[in-house]
Amino acid sequence: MDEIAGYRINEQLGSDSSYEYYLAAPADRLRLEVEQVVIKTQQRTLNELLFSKVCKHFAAVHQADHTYLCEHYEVGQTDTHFYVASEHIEGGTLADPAREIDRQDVLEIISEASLGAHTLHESGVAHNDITPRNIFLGALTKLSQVGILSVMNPGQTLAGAQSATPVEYRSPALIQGEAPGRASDIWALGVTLHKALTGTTVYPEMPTDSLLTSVRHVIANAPALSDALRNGERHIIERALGTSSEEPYETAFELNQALEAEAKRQLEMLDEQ
Amino acid sequence: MSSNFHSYSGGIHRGPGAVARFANVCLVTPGFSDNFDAIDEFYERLGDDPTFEEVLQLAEVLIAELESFVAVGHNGESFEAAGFGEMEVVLNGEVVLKQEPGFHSALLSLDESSVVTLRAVSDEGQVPIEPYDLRLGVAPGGGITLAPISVTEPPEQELPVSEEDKEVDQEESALSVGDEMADPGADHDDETFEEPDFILEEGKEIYQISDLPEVRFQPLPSTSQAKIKSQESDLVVGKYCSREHFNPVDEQFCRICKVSLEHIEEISNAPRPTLGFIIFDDGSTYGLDRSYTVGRNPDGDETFEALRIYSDAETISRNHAEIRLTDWDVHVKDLGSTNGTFIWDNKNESWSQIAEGSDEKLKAGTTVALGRRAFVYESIGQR
Repeated sequence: MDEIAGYRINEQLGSDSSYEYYLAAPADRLRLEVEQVVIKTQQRTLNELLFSKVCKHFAAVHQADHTYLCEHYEVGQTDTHFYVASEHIEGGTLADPAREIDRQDVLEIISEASLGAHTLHESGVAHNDITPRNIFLGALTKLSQVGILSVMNPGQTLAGAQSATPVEYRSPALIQGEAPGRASDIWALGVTLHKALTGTTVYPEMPTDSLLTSVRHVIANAPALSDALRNGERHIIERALGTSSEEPYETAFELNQALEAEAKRQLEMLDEQ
Repeated sequence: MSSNFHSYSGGIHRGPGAVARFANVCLVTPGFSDNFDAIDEFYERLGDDPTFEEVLQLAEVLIAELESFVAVGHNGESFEAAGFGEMEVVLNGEVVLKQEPGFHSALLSLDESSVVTLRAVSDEGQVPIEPYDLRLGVAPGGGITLAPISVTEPPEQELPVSEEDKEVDQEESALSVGDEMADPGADHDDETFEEPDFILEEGKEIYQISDLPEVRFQPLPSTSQAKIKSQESDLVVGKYCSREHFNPVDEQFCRICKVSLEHIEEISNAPRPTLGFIIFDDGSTYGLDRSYTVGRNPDGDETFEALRIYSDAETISRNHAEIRLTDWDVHVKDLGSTNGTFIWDNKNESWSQIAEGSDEKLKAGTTVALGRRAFVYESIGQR
């Protein structure tokens, strides 16, 4: 594909069972002072009602404070494709960072991503697709690609076998039909933190032969946290996953506060050494 | 004369900024990226029940660190608004205190119909940031609207949210915040989208998001509130395990935590929890918290969510089958499909077709074929 609705495609970023992702020069009509935007597109056109739902979803997202959220510029469809254009940040993603990041950086990144999620929640929208791949690392951390799965297909909890979102980032409650919300986004932030700190998933024994066995494993087994975690980090992840003896975080802002405190504590320990 | 601001649970509601209500003062401290610590310090030092005067004194001490602050309270003689930075106070639609250099204040003349809004404003063109309702338990520091305020006796009960918001909307159309409660995850129902406030141009297929009609959902419920909200499905008869998981009456062990239910005799009528999920051959997964009509282009309604599936071989009918939740069971029914609905019979290792219009109760782990597509029903705790 060379072009879609005036966006000149430069590079394909990837694809999954539902969407293709491209880097593209923005359409002239947007008058954006950026060289590239991300295009998420699907070879499908939406009926009037569904298109209206998706537009309304992004209109609500637009009301959120975008300090830690990527901008979504445009939603539209051509004769053959539905697409969403959003902000691209140079600096890579948490899944593929363009710079070296250490433990302190990880805590700060997830802390800022938590604020991004919180402001979205305050605007009445769950992100519903938080993974390392959707956390951009610029001067500020920005959450990208606000999920539209539950808008496009109410009741659907996993996109499919080729989904870009691995099963472990979806909470067991979400997979089984609980509506996406603060809890499921906080879960995904906890799993993302674990992955970024340890390089491993919270389900190290998860079979990968089929999505069904993976899903069964997530439903039937409690998350197993890595021994590589420090005590403070473990405590935060357990509360995010709801496996702590303490109450789960009520909001992503509480998670942000806990992460900031842990980062500060670790920094003070480093200074003492 | 005493003031009658009501202190809701928690008093201080912290987002990036904070809004707070105490017995005699309401205040907003807008959050910016560099004043979070100052906001924390401010509320820590305020204590549980500060007077209006104490609030103003401390705000003045921390004026440089807080950057913005606004409060409305009773000073012992009359109501007063005071603040500094990017804030304003609106009384009955008229700005009575606005952003000016330094700490400044204004006396307020209130009666029983007064609507007072104290809020943060953007420094770009004095754009007001919309107020949030304290009773939702979350507040990003955008602002707070008090309406109406009784200056004689406090009401015995908190005003219903929607009624109060309606009054605010009538008084201040510029502040209209939709009463629409966001379904967590923006899983909005069709009725919501037929509201007149969100109408797209006919035939227009490309929208810059900043040009879309303004939409505001209420903040998502906090994690504990969401658990309560999720309990709004059909009622079923069952029993709770010692860890309060709800189970079918005839279950011997809890579906969730596996503790024994043998000695539990108390039977309850409670909302049905999710019964599990179905997972299709392409891995797409749907929660069994609702019933579905499955097909190529199915007709959904209030009872049956439309679940659209595709088949390259065109073996799926428009309305192919129904997946229906009844009590604790999941049923599948063929809707007169062209290519049929089948259940895999493990015992005979063969497919058996469901007769048109008849209903089959599914066992956990059962595979169901719709034309050339298939799904597996996975039940919680049953394998």
